[in-house]
Amino acid sequence: MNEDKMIPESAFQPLRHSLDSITDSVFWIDRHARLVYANRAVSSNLGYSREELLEMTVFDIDPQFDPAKWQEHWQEILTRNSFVIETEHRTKDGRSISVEVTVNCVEWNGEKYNCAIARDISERKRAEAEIEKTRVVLKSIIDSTADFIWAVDSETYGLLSWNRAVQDHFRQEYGIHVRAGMSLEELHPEKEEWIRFWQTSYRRVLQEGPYEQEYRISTGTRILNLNFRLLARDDRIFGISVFGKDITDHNDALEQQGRLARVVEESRNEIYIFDAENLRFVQVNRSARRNLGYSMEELRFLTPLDIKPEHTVESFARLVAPLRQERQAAVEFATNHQRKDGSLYPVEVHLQLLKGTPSFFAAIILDLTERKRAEESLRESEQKLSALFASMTEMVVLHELLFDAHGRAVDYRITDCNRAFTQITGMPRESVLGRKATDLYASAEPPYLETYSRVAVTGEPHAFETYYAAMEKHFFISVVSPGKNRFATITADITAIKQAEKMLAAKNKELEQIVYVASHDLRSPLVNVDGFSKEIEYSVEEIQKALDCRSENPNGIDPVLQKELPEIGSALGHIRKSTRQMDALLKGLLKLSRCGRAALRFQIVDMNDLVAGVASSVEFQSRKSGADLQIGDLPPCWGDSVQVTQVFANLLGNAFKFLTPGRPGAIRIHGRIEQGRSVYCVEDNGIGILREHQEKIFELFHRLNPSKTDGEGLGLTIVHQILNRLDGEIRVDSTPGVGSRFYVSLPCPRPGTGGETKESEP
Amino acid sequence: MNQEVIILLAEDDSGHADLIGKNLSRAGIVNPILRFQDGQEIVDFLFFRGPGPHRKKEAAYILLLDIRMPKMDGTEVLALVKADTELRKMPVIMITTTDDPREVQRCHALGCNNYITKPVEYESFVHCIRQLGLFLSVVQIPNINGKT
Repeated sequence: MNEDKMIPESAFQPLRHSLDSITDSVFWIDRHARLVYANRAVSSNLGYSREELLEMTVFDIDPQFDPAKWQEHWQEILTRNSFVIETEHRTKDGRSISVEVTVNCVEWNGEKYNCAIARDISERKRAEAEIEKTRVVLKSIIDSTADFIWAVDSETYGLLSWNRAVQDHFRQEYGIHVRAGMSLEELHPEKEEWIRFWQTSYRRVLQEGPYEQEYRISTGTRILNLNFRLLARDDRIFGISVFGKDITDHNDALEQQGRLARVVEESRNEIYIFDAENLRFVQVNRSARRNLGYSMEELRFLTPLDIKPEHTVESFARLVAPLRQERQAAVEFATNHQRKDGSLYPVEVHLQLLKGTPSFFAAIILDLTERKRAEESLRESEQKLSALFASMTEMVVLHELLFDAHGRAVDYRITDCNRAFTQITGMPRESVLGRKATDLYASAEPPYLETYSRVAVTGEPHAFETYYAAMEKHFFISVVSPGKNRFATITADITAIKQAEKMLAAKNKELEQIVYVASHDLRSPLVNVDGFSKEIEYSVEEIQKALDCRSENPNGIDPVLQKELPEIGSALGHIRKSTRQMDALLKGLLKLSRCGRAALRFQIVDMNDLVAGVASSVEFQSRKSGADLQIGDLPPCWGDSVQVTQVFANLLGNAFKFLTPGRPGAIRIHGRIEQGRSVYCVEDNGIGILREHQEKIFELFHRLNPSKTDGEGLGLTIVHQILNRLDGEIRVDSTPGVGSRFYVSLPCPRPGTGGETKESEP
Repeated sequence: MNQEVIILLAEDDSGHADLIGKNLSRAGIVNPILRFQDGQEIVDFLFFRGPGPHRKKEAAYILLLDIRMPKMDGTEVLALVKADTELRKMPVIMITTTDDPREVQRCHALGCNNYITKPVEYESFVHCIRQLGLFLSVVQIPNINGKT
């Protein structure tokens, strides 16, 4: 130790007594951390003698210091002069003492020292730790309860403290993170009623003292609150604490009893409770009282034997013996009940013994009258419905929707189908039930999934028409939903209706043409008839005038006659021509109408025979025209031979009629099977038809060149109409000056229709 | 009406053509009348087709057109005429027995200048043709090549 740095003992003389008498340790420490002075308290606190202490450094008594940390500490002493630290001191016998050290920078003989005053704070530390431990225990207790516990400031109602139940409730129910000091408005944002509720509650507890209140929170939970005041040591009220307990279940139990009593009373089943000893009725519910016709007052004096005429005391005792002996939990038996008015009704009794003091029998009765009747009518209606289901000509299929993981309908499964479905589709019932649509119809997308799922989900029925190309059939599908996510399709084959509609459209068009003909073609000659009759009148008047003037001018009549007679002649010619025209038109209409009404006899038609017959009937015409007629091998067709003959007679007739004058005619008839239909071609090298006229030639009374050929302009109209009725088609391919080809297509004979015929009503 | 104007009458029924002619002359119309038997004939005449007679470039014409005619009907002729830059100025009057409103509408849409339904009853027929005569006597017929 550096002697000249030592502080002489004498320097402390005036203070020595006082320093030694205080319990706090006082050290003087130099810049090298050496102790240069220690009072008596240091010796007694740490166990070292004063001599020993003066040989020691800070590092010997304070384990938290080392030379590096001391350097830092010394710098702090020089700059801050005075401050307080908490550290620990080690006694000579190795105990550790928590100390609070007040550091003071002092100067002596131009040298700086640290005058440190250390106070033992072990006791305080231990008390703090004790309090903290208690706090943690209390906190974990209040946090571990599901009850709500919190406290608010009595002035501001701001939140002071709360337990985890409160914190969790606010976070889970409202997403509010509870913080200290939160106001009512912050805890219950935009919930005026709650803010008012708590304001009232807090005010009341402040004014009147602790009280209980019951209320229901948003989750439906019932809460019983205990509100009380928080008092400071001086009995001043500083806060309000609330203890909220969930009493939902408690209340439920009470309500449950009442509910059960009501269930018994209101039950549609008859329920009887009677004493196990004397068998007298204790409670009989309303259904039973009403059916029997007895009041409860009357029933109290009756026993089951009074309403069960088939039982005697003995037989009833035998019946309930297994219950009394606890061999069975319940017995069931059927008997008849007798009403107050003497009438009987069949019942099924479920009887139980409820052991206790006293014991009771409880009987639940099913009135079988109603059930028997209901079963009967259910069976009847089921029979009716299943007969209907089976015998319907419409295909009826029941389905259920199938969903994917996202709840989207992706497919549907067949749950039932009727006979019509299996017959029409040819799929046996067993192979269809339970199958998925994608699987059954072998399609990636189940047919009409969107429409079907809409019906199944919304329950709104829907109907639509569709054409199924594979079967060449039109269907009308009606979709209904018998329950959520289920649907039934009722599918009717409307192919015949569709064909009829098509036919009707064709008929309408024909009718329209007839109206047009009536308004024009029949009117046209009438204009002539009336016009030229009037002209004749004029001429007659002229002649009459000349005759009247004959006495004055006998020669005047000749020029008049010479002028008017040819006029009259020409007028009569026009009139007669017009009447012939009208007659021809009317005959044509009649012919058309007749051919539309003729009964059809469908059969396989040997076209080679048929066309040969047609050819021989026009032999005279062909010989006259010198045309060459060639007939190839023709496939048979399915149709009415009389009508088909008419078609080819008209076509062949036209071919001869419209040959080019001066060129040798060549007419060919040939045919072949094309896409399942028999197609025939009547080909000529005649005058041909302009493209713009090719559509019109099938129109009623349309003649391209009336002056050059005879005929009423009806031939192709009739051909068209016949083919319409035979499911046939006609088209023309023609080049003016080169010739025309008329293609007629008719159905092929169907497989398995060899020779059989089908009658068609006119 | 200008004396040089030639009336073109396309009418397949010779009786009707005869009656129209008679009544036009009674109404004082003395212009020459050229008669055509069907739509094809009048189109050939107007568009210089076929071997038959053709119109003269410098002449003024008015066309009376029946609708229902063989080969080519009146509405088709009307459409051709009204689609032609030269011929569209020529007045076209439809004369027909139909009074089907759709037919009438179609002709107006195609641009016919007048539409006359031939009444069956002769007095009315005469009246109509007189009216036509009156119309023809006041109307100015443009020359097809633009001069009036």
